[in-house]
Amino acid sequence: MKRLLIILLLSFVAHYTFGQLYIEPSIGYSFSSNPLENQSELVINNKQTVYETKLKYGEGVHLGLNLGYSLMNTFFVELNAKKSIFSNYTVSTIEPDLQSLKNCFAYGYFGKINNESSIIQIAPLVGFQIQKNKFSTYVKLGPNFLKSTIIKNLEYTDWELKNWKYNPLYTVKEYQYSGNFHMGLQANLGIGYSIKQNLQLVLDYATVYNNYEITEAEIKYYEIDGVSQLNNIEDTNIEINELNKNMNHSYYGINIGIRYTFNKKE
Amino acid sequence: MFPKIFGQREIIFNHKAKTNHFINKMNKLLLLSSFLAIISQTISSQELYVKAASFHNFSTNTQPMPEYFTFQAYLGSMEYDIGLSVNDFSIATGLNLQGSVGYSFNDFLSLELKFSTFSNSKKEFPSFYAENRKTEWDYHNYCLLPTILFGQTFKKSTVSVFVYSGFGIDKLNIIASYNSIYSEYELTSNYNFSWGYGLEYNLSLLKNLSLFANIGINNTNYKPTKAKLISSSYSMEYMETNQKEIEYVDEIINLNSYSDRHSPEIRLREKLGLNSVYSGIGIKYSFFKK
Repeated sequence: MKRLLIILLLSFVAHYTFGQLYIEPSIGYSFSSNPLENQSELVINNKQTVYETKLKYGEGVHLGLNLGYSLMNTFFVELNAKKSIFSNYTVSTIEPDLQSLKNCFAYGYFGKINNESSIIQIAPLVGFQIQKNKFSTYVKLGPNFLKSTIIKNLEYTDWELKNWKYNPLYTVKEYQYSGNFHMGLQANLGIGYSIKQNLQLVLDYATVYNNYEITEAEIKYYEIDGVSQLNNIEDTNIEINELNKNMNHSYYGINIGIRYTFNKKE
Repeated sequence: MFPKIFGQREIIFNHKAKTNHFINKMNKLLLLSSFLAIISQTISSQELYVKAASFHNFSTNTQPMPEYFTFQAYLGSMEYDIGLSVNDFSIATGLNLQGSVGYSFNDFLSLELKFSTFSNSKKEFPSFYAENRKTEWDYHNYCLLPTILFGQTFKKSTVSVFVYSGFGIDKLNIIASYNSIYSEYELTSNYNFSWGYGLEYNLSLLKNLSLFANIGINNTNYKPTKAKLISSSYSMEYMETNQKEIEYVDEIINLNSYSDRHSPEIRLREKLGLNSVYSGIGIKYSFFKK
């Protein structure tokens, strides 16, 4: 009797919980949601102008791959991996010429910043999807493990006061910041459209919160007027403290993917 | 002859017109009855409902604390700017109460209008530089959030994916202090913008009554337009307008750096992001449910 009950229970469970394995390559663009805002102030003849630059750490084009397992066409678990393929951008503030300007005061950074943040992400997610004819919509949620290497290249004019006269020093500096995998939160909202029985076109909107923590920072390159200054620096490592340890990589991303379901059952 | 022919034509035209009018009327009746027939088929699954829920928001992101004002302390005859920097700053954790009115078109599609109120629970932020310097942030917002829900029903329970966005108003008070010296500012903004999405699980208890649980993410952006000093450990009577009022603007270009003492101080507007994940439970009452 017990065996019969177990068999009946197993056959009932097996009928309703058939799993379906799927794979989904994707490509997308992410927009930094928490850029680091810096202000530079320039006062010329008592007229003040404030410049604002935004350093966007999570922004760029990335490739993704999802490996998932769907239960009863509703619940699913997924392993989401992403790698950035383009994350290079430049911001600049017009540099004041302190030699020609009279009655002038400048505070903050003036010059060009080239920023690149190469990111790898892994996110185990759980979700639920609702199907209606050929369309489906889903929400998924889980931790986001992110690792980033940031290369920041600065080009600016430093000013040296010599004999009551300002002399320009054309400076190029490159910093590299890196850290371990840092945990944040990821949520996705998406729409799917079945092209064929096994194939689905997926439009996905990702929200990632990850205030990335760096563990290492180093000056990789330093030159003034074309002459390397790296040998003149005693220690190229930069001290990491409470105020500079975080580089916010949070973003909103749009992804387009193709989902292939193995041995799909209707 | 002419008037007779004209009269016959008139009769024919009138007859044709009457026939056309009758056909038009019939067509309209046919269309209306078809429409009603279609509606009556789907109306059985339509319902109007109200919801009340309580959620808790947990902050998912931090940012450097916005410098909405400079906190000054007068020690003797000297004036000092007190740094209150905090790197891991967020006021997105707190209680969120919601009430909503919704309409289900069928088992799959529903629309809701949510009224949401939020108050932050973590209010005190000690300065990075010293423990006796801190700020206290008291934030409230009231939002109207149109929401769309896509649901799937399994016997007595329904699971829905929902998406919302909307606008609201805020109230923010900040107290900055250094030992017994303090200043309290009241900040005003035009509006805030919120959006989010998540999952809802609904379990039917009685014919018209059901219990639901939600999990989702919420994002609210706040940008102040003005700030006003409302209380201080110093006498405000002798303070100038630029010491008591701040105006936040999107850009500062060629501004007279010697600010007018009788005008508010001008600062760049800084964004405060409230990013959170939330969960909670609520109750739903459906009217006219069949």
